[in-house]
Amino acid sequence: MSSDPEITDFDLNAYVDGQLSFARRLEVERFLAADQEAARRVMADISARNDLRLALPVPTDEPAPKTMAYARRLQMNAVGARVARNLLRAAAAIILVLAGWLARGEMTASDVASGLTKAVAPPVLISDAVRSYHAALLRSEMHFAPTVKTVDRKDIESATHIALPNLPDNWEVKDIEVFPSDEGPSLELTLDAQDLGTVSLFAVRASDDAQIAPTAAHDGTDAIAYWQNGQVAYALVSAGEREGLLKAAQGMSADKNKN
Amino acid sequence: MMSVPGFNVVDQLQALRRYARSLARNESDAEDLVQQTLVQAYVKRSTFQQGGNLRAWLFGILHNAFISEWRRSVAEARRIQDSTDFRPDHQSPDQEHAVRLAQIREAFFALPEDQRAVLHLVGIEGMSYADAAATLGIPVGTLMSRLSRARAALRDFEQAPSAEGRRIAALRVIGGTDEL
Repeated sequence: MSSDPEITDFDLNAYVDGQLSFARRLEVERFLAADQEAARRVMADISARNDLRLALPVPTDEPAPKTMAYARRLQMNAVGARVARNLLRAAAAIILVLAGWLARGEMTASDVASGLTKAVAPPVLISDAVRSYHAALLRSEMHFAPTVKTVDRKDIESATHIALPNLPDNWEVKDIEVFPSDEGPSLELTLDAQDLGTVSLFAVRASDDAQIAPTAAHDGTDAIAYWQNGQVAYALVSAGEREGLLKAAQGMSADKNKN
Repeated sequence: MMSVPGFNVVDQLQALRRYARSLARNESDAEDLVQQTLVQAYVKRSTFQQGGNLRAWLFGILHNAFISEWRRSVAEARRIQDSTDFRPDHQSPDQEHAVRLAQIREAFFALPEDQRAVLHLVGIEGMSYADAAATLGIPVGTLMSRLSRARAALRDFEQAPSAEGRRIAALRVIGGTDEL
């Protein structure tokens, strides 16, 4: 349609859409000044675009409550996903380091337990771990994730190659997250552990085969209990009392040994 | 703590709802489509690149949800019939202009969905050609070709002298092909 070979259909559209450089815009305008038909077309397109924006305005009504809930859940869990991934790495790193110490006979399990809260544990990893646990807490308070009624162990185990320990009967699974990572998938369960409150269970495949008995640690007021069974390392984190958490960890690891 | 920077989904809701209305052409279906989009985005949230364009990412998911599920639904035929049920909240005091807005909306809804999507993203949403093409998963050349055809169809529609003429113009648009 254009008599000027340099001005193309693309240019005319890009002129309408304001996607031309200043210099190109001047060239198009010079062309339009000389070509009435093209100018009419461009003005019609601009007018149609402006009217379309008025005819299909940004909604002024509120989204449905369900829409809002879904949006918030997505927004919240982007946070959870990122921080929890860090925590899983942190938990795995701590456990691998501990496993190494134990294997070399440099420390006893109780040394490790007390050491965790001292200088030996990388402070950044610990703070990541605790932040992530609080992110899970926050998510569980939002009530967006419905309680998971049944946990399909077979599905989880075949997808992640991580054996889920048997949970105490009165604990409820609130949320399950699976994260891919270079070391293989890792698993985070958010649990309603009755007296112990909200507890997170992290499980990740370790690179070394090892047996570590449940061991207690803490960071500020947050309690941690971790153990390793063969190639899978587990960590429980909660705000509850350390004794109770360690007891739960012992129960879960003992159960696992029976399997 | 509450949100990852650049991942404010709630801020994108109205834009998502508007895009859904352009595709679904019906407010309650559009709301369902947005909800479906948010559920799918939740499932695949790990695919969002930090620092990426959240709106383009969500629009892409919405578009795919619409294409893969909504288009095939048996209710589609009914939706086309019902498309004039949609009324914007905006009411122009100028009656003539109000008529014109209703007409252009009708012409827009009569476009094939691929042209409607392109015109929405570029013309209404103001996306760059590159972002719009990435959102739709098509080359920029295809995007431009659809954009040209959509605009030509709107011009034809408006130039048709009568309602009957506009109907014929709209039918011609629906029958159009998407060859480059």
